[in-house]
Amino acid sequence: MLEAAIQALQALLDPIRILYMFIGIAIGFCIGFLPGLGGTVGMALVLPFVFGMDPYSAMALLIGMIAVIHTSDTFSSVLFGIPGTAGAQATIMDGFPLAKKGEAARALSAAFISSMVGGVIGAFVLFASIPIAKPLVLSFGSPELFMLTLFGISMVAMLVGKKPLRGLIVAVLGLMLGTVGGAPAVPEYRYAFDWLYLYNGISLVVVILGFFAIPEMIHFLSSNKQISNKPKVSSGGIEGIKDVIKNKFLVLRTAALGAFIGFVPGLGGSVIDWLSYGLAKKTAKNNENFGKGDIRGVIAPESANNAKEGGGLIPTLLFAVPGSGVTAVLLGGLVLLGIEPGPKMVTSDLPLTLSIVWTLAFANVFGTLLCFIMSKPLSQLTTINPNKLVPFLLVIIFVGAYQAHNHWGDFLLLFILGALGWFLKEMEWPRIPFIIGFVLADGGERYLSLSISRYEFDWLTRPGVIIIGAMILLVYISGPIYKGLKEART
Amino acid sequence: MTRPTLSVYFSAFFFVLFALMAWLALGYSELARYFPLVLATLGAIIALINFFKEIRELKEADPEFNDENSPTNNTVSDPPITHNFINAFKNFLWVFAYFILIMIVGFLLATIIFLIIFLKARTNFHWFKIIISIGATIAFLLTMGQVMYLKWPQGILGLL
Repeated sequence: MLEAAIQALQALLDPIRILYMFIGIAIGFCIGFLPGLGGTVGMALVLPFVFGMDPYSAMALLIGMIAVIHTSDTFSSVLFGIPGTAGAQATIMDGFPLAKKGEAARALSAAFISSMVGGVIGAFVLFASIPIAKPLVLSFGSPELFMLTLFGISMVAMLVGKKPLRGLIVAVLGLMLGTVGGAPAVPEYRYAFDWLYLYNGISLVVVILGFFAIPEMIHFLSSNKQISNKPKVSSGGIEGIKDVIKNKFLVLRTAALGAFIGFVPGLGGSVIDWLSYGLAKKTAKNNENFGKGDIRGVIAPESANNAKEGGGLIPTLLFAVPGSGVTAVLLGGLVLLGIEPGPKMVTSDLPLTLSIVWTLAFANVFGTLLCFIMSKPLSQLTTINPNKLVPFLLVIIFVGAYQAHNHWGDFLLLFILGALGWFLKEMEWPRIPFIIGFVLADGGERYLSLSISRYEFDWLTRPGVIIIGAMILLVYISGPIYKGLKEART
Repeated sequence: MTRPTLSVYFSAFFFVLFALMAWLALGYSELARYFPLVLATLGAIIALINFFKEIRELKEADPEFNDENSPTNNTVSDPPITHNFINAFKNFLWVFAYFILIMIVGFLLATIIFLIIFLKARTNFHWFKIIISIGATIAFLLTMGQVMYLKWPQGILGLL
């Protein structure tokens, strides 16, 4: 395999392919930076141009773009408190408070480095998993996927704040909104009120922009002062790198989690950052500053969401099972190029698979460099008067929402959810549990329905279910046990 | 009006919303019903518990909470939100106005009108700067529309 890896590297180092990779990186940077546009949009944009290309160049372009999106989406999350993509939701929890303190450069720097490390780890996981992936993927049935969804929902408990009942109400509301549209078990539409727009459910992009972006815009205008409390953005780039080195085990831990969750098809990329954030908060010492500007709250989700790309490519390439919207479109791209995803990818097409691994690693490194170059000038945006910035951001937000379905309903929902999100913010009710509930509703119902219809209640005794159940319990009891032991020692 | 008082109304609103959703769920077939019905019922119960909890906390904080004009109505930790709320509401109206404009005159024209009025009213931009800003924004929108095959909504009047 080493020989094939060198062969793949040589193929990728062809100047034309390198050029395509850089074009992919540039496109990925722009898509990640603009709020509301995600990997699926990027893939859909680029896919028509790969037709007729040689597979190595096409993969350099596509993978180069995918690899960078989750690095550059950090900009809007940290600078404006608006998630750049669905995978950067948790970054705003601590990234935005850091920007408010004038430490945007530090937060961005830490995010980029942890993204890069996470991305390279994801590429390594993809490389290492080639011989062993099959039995692992096949061991995940609907009961195990439901338990993983439950694991995600359980994260709500860690993020509800001081008034848990309010957090639970908002989480249930998110779950309820996730049930709008077609029922997974039967051909029936729920809460659609005979409106065709709602038959496919509500777009996550519209929900995120409505719930986070619109309230933040109103808040900026109301405060009538720039985002950063300090007139000049400090150059905390080196400090951010030191933060990552100091928290190297957190980076490794969350990257491994991201690669693993990405590897499980059907769980959805939007869950990963919350899982990693929740775990980081739960397992960190002195975690009282999480949510107020703790750098570990930036490092954990950023490391995980880049690592998941490598993990997500495993089932896509090896079993033609896409784990997310992005990999589903990528699968289409492979077919368009005449490549058959499946066992052939580790036999006759092994050099191409390995070139994808190399591209993923290189694009993460070069994408990070590009983000570093751009971080200083873009950080200056936090020092601009909101009246000069917000109207243009509002236009971008409306565009981001509209591209979800190209329907005026996108605007209407954006406005309604924006009003609700703004009201929750004014009332100091938590908004994060809503997003977690919304993201996990569809998977939760689908996998629970499948589990019961196939196994009745016997699925509860499956080893995978018990292991994941034990993991959920462990996360909850480890904190009190650790504290108890610490108190006993002192 | 204080945040805790508004939270009581908000909890009541959520209770009604969840109860309505549970009632709607009863109309679906068995397999489509169970998940939303269980969730909505759970949500209604939690909202109801929260409603009474918020009332109790409000009473504990201020026994005269029913009298909105009472000078003792607002505790030190929960100052009145009226001033901030009205200020924020005015800014919310800008978003609302943009949305209504889109619905009436279409996206591109609404963006031009919104930017002109907003920048003129809220910034010290001269006309030249405003025109340049709008030109750049429209160029960005047209490029995005071309690249992403977006057909901007025309609004009720069917203009741009």
